[in-house]
Amino acid sequence: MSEKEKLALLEETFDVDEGALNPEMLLNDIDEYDSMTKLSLIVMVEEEFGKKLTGAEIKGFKTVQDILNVMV
Amino acid sequence: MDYLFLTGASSGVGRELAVYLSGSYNLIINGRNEERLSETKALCKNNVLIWPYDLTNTTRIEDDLSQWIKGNDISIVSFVHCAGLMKMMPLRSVDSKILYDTFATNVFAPELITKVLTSRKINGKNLKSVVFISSNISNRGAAAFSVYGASKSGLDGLMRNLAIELAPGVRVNSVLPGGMITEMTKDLFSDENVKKQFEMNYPLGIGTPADIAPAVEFLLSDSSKWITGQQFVVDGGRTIDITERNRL
Ligand SMILES: NC(=O)c1ccc[n+]([C@@H]2O[C@H](COP(=O)([O-])OP(=O)(O)OC[C@H]3O[C@@H](n4cnc5c(N)ncnc54)[C@H](OP(=O)(O)O)[C@@H]3O)[C@@H](O)[C@H]2O)c1
Repeated sequence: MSEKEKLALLEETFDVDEGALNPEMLLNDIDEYDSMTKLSLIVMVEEEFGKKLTGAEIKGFKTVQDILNVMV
Repeated sequence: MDYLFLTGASSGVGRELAVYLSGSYNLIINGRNEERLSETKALCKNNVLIWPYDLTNTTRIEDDLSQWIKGNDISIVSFVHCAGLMKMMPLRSVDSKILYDTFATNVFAPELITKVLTSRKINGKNLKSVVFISSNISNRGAAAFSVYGASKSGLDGLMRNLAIELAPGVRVNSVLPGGMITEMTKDLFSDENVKKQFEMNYPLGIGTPADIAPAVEFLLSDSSKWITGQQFVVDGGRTIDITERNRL
């Protein structure tokens, strides 16, 4: 999956407009990155990449890139 | 000795129930994982028959279960539906597959199994008592629980309607547990903060499957012979608490 496709998946998960996310963005600065989005993220990563994200992993995410890195 | 039919016996609450109830009943235990069902069997007393089956197979389950019961020539007096699927999921992640799998496991299967077990051709008039393992979310609500929560409300709706339709021959009740650490919830509880929060929110602390078993046994037994159509909440006081414990 290309980075562009991954970003599109994330935008769907975050429920933000197309093109709203880029890898350098700090998650703390994104209003939509709340507890429900984190749960959606767990569901998406499990469905698309067959991995179960742990609470500790999620806490470790600082930027959008950190999330892209586990989407493999 | 008569047989009790128990789903969800390969794990968590179901395995605990199998071991606890195996002193008083012969058991038929169900789950998909045969290896784990054999492990459960090894922990039990009395006769234990294993029926490995995927309960989401709703188009075939009636025929397959009927054939299996006929083939084994057994009479089943009690049914406990403990199998359950719980996936925390915000509304935006919900799709028809998870809705189907959850409702098939948590609601459709117990209805179809009860149908088979009350069929005169298959099980005579042997069935006397049914207990569904619901959840304390059944009458409540929580974010990311719309699918699971709706399924457990559906299960309790099924319980009440069957209680009337099948009276006086069969009693139908449910047990509503609160949070316990099992396979189902281990990811959730692996987060220390979540665990602390739970401990704070449960007046009697977090429960274990062993806390559920005696309630199920009571509802199956003649000690509860004038009780049907009821929700028995066993949740350490979680859902009757109106104080804000996390502020204490
Ligand atoms: N743990 C809690 O905090 C909690 C709280 C309230 C209510 N409950 C309820 O208590 C019950 C038991 O939960 P648990 O914590 O013991 O969960 P668990 O450890 O995840 O066990 C679930 C059981 O359901 C069976 N199952 C799931 N899908 C199935 C399918 N398609 N076909 C056949 N069997 C299936 C599993 O068997 P296989 O994997 O072998 O198929 C397993 O034996 C559930 O109904 C749950 O909703 C649990």
